[in-house]
Amino acid sequence: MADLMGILSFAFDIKFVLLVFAGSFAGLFVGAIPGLSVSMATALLVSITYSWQTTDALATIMGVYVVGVFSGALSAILINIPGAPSSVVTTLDGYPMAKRGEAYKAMSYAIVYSFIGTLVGFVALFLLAKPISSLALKFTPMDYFLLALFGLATVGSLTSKQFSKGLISAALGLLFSMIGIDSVMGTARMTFGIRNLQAGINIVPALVGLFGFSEVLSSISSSLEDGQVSNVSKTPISMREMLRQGPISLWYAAIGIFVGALPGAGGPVASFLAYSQAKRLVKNPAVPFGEGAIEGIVASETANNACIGGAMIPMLTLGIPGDAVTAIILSVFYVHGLRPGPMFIQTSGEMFHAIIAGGVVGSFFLLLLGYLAAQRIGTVLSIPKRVLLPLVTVLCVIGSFAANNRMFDVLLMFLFGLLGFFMRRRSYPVAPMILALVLGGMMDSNFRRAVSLASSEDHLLIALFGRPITLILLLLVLFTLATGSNIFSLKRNRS
Amino acid sequence: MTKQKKRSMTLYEGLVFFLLSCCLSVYSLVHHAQAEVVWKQSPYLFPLLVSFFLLPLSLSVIKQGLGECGQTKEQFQGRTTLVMICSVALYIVFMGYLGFIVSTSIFIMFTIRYLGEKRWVVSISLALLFPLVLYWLFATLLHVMLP
Repeated sequence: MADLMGILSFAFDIKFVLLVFAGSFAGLFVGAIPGLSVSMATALLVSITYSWQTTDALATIMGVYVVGVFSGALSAILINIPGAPSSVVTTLDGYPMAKRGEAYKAMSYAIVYSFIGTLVGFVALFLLAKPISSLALKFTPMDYFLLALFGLATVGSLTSKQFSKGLISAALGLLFSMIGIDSVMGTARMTFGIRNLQAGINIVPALVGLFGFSEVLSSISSSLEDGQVSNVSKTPISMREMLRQGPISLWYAAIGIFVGALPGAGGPVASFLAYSQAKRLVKNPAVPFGEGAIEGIVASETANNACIGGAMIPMLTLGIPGDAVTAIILSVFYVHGLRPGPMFIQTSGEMFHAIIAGGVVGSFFLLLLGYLAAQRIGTVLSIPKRVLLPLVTVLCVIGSFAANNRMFDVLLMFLFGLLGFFMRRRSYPVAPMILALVLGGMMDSNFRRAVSLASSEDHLLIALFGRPITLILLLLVLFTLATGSNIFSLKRNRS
Repeated sequence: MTKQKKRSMTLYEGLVFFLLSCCLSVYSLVHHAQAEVVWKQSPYLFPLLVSFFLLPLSLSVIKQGLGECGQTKEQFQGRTTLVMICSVALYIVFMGYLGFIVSTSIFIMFTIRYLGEKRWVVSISLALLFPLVLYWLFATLLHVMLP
């Protein structure tokens, strides 16, 4: 009850709601315009909201996150180019509908079921976060180390075409996370005499470089051509017809929540799995799947938005982010001096309430802005990349500078941008690197703490891995590492 | 991109990671010896662990590079990308000398025109207004002192 009151106090706070609206408004454009991404926008927002109150920063970021994930569907439907990776599946049926002159209908379904998916995801977060936190209180330092390792292994396996490339990206991230003064002994590691590196690699310029600048370079290097925008004409849809997919959408939302909670899987995997389920469950769609079936849009959009709440669960309760955006949100907590984990909801309940309130309010703005923008978004989608990309580059420079007011961070952003660009070109995913950069410090200190504690026991291995939870986590890590290539081949077969 | 080229790139990547892993191991062992602490407290324990983790991965990439085949032709605007990278580097360098507003105006004007925007009104208005609005936003509202 106290939690509910806490959430409502944020939901009825005018300043909070306005900040969510500002974020939602930005998210609508960022998500819809191909070449810009939600992770890029949240990375930039971390630098801008650096000096804000944490709850204000969270309100804006949640608005961007919720509406940004949805609005990728708008460009997927109108120009057959998904604005976000999680909307790839939406193109399969959305664009054929737009070509038939049913763009408005496709967008309406995307709006309503993204809204339902988001709400169900946040309800799950509200209900599951506390029980999982209670379980996590029993974790030892080795459990935390293994849990983070499991997260990195799954991210590596699910975000890359080749398992080894995903893990190499994670290993490089761990390497970068070790630069600077060691938190246990106070020794400078891998600074090579550069004073600016003694405080470590600042997460903000690394984020902006890897997700922002590298994406600009990738867009420029691939093509500057813009998509052809389909016409949108308003056609009335009855509420009864719209909600006919309601019951089955709960199943897609459950898939989204589960996949979202797995570190690294995220929206693209969730929407794909939900789409596969829809094809299996809906035997006789009005139009075949892939040719403009409304059921395909419902499955994809419900699942990818339900992922948001799901991805928040491990981030808030265990300190392990579920996807790239939650890794960035985790860094928001870090730069504001907060450490998510089992005690987080008890010690920083206000932040938990702010996240849920931000998500729920954001989902209502999704509904509102979605319908208002549906007929006008074509104008925004026709902003050429040649104009947009230089402006985003300036935002990357200013965003990385704003974090600490120093040019060294701009240089770091530039170098991480180049690294991210080459990684993308050579099919190395950037998400495991950023996850490792965020988690590296925690992994290092927990690993050494676990070894120190176990070294005083008679049997080192039993002390390290003897507990049931530890053993399960170790088996999970070993299983993921051993079957990484198989996981990918399954994924490829599904594609 | 030819088959031979692709194979050699992956192979070189693997070799770079292999060298990185070796260097990290040597770095950790040498610095640990100099630090004179037991391994369980050593700040070089985790870097050593990461180097061991990286070693089989680099070998896997090398193996993949040796056995890779198939021809892929990807669209790559190499010259445009290089010009963009150089102009951003110059923009960052000159920001310290010219200040944020002037350097940003020049950067936007140049890159927008270079990337193919033909309308002078759009180029000039963006080059002038965007830096001014950003400066006002950051300096006044967010209290960030820009160069």
